[in-house]
Amino acid sequence: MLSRETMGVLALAILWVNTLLVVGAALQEAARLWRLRVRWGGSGLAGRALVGRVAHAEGPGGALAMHRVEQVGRYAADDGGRRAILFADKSYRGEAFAGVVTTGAGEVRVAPGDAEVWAAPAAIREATRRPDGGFDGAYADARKARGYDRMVEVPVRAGAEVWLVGALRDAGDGKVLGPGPDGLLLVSAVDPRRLCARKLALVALFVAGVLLAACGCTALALWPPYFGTVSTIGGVLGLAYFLLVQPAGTALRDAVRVPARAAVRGTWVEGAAEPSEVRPRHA
Amino acid sequence: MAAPAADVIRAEAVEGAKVAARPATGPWLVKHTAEWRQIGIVTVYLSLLAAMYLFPACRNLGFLAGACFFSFLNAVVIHNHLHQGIFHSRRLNMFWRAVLSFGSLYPASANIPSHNLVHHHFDDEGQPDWAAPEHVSFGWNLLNLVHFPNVAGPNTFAGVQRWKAVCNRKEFSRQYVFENVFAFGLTGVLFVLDFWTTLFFIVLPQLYGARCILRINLIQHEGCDTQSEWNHSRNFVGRAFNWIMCNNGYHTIHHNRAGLHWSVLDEAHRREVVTRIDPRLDEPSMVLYLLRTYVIGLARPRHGDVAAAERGAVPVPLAPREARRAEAEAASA
Repeated sequence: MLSRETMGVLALAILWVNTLLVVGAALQEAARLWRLRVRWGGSGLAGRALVGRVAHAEGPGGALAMHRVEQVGRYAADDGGRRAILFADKSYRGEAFAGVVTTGAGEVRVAPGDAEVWAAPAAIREATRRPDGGFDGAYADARKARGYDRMVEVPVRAGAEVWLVGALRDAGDGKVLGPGPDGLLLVSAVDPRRLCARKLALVALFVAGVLLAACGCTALALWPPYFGTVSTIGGVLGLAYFLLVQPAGTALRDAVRVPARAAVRGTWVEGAAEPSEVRPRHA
Repeated sequence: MAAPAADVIRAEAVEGAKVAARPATGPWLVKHTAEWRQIGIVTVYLSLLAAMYLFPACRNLGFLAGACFFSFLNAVVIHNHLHQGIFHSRRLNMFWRAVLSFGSLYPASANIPSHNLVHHHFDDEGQPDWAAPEHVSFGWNLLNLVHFPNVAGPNTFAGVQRWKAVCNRKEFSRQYVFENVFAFGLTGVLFVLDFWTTLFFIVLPQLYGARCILRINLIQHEGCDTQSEWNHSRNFVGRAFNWIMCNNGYHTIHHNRAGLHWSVLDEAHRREVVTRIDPRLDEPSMVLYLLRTYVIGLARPRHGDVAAAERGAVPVPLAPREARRAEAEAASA
């Protein structure tokens, strides 16, 4: 027969294996961020990233770069019974346009092409506030099997402060920045080093919180007498913790995504002049 | 390679239609006689839970291991039932979903968006399947297997919430609430009556089965090519295994012909799949595969271009994935 003590040990073992796996996955996210920080931020941003201001650019509306989120809208209703369109992100893309950035080391020309574009949260919010056409037409499309397609375009415009990472080469008539050896060109409207540091701090907080909570549940569950009132409260909390730590882990994964791949989503409610409830995850 | 003869294609399609139509005769209560096997599985499972809960003498390793195994099978029955309801009566089918939900401690209807619509097509509005193998990335593959439900579970329930928010899913939402109330309500009552016995001998098997069925997504698709039409899945073809698993080892044909009843998947697999898949995706034993891939082997399996096998095979009529998804969506409405 399996005693309560044996089963208690088994349950705690399951709780801890799971905890360590969730922590391990969080540390994987931290390692990715750390590699980005080292690669794109370095120490003091010297040598690896160029910081400057966009002098002029030849992209649409004078954009140096564009972050694009392709979305599909499906018809829904909000709590008030009004019609609404619910957006899901289909894909994320970035593009750099020809332009000039004034940096501390002089002017640098940016080569057009594919790029990783890190837009500022405010700019993403602003971009989602410009729906194409009226609500009725969009809603009619949203009711069809194909859904209502729209592209959220977030530009990095002239005058903006930018962080650039890529390969710098001397073109004779000046310096040109293009993709690095790994094929990647980063145009960021936010300080990548600080952003990575903030996300790393969030991971650290999460790991500490998860371990603390697991320790707390374990301590309560093992409170003498075993399986008494306090111990039972520990068991209840342990089960709740086991069920909640899993969505907490995926929420952390989403929260530490880099801006180029952060979920935008959103809802457009009838009567509202603009889509709302857009919460970029890197805000 | 020469173009396939049209009559070959037609013959396969006609044969497929015959197989699909075969179990059309309706026995008493259930749509197919084979469904009694599924009902038997769930009955055994619930009996094991009841025995452990009510009789201390039954709280032993044999009963617990049996309950965990049958909990996994309960989740397999959820899968089959949500593709094709077991009973003639719609009301009975809906109640059966609630019973199955208690068995696995999650609302069975979640399978409609998460499995029937998203997983079957490896795509959620352009984003990856909620249970795609890529969601885990430990270097030691055993950790991926153990950790997978921690990611696929929350992905699934977040996705179901988004899917539910779209209009004309009120009936689904009502049923979803009913299953939640039934599953968690009944488990809650048992908790109130005897917390520790419920935790150890009811909830532990429930969660074991629910988490194992999520792991199946990893096991059946890791190292496969989900962009291909016939090499997106790994099959486990052992006869005894498929008897107790209600033919859930034949995964490729199930993905491609979701409308086929589970009892005919073995025939359909031999007829349509075998000649079109990489032989490495036809595993004789799941146990041996698990040992080889997650215990003996440390790294993730890489099979290379498995889809090469289907490029040289005789094509067979198969609707595009979008059409199959639209059909599944209509069937779930």
